[in-house]
Amino acid sequence: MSQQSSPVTQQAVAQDWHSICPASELVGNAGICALIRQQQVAIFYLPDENAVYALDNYDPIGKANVLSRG
Amino acid sequence: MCGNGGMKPRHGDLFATDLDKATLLQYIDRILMFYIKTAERLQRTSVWMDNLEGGLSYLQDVIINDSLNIGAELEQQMETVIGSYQCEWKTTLEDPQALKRFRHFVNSDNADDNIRFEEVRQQIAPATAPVKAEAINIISSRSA
Repeated sequence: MSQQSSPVTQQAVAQDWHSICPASELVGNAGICALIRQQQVAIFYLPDENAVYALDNYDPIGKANVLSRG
Repeated sequence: MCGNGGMKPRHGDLFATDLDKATLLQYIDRILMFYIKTAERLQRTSVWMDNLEGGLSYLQDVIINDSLNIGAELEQQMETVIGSYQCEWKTTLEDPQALKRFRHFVNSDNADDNIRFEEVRQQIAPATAPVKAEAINIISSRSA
């Protein structure tokens, strides 16, 4: 679709694991942003589920890298 | 005191004269605290005083003559407010944990390369979309 807003090479991400930061750097029920292969990835940590979710940090409507800020 | 500008202007009233500095500050502390305790949120002091039964003379009685016997308590509360005040910016700058929230990346010291400025009338301004796209294209072609 849009080349600018979906720059994460999804295949590469699906295939590779990346060490990003210690778990202590995660902020419960909030987001952080990681730089992975020059792509910005928003990472959300939910302590209740003990789960971590990730998505592109880019907001295509606001055209800014802000999604990790919630 | 209790004057007001704006749509409903009101001259301030003379509350007391010939005060030494310590008494002046004492009265100001008492008045502010009494206002905080008894006024509606965001209520102008002029409206507040007009709504007090007895108005100015009642207030003078409470503050100067301590008719409600709450002067010391009000001063103590003001002391607590002053003593517990902190500049939140300064506190944040001294706390490494709080400073982490101001990093863009958790795993890099880089800044967000989507934040661009252009110069307008000798000042920086957020770059308009075309200027931004051009700058990013330059970066991408360099790194390619």
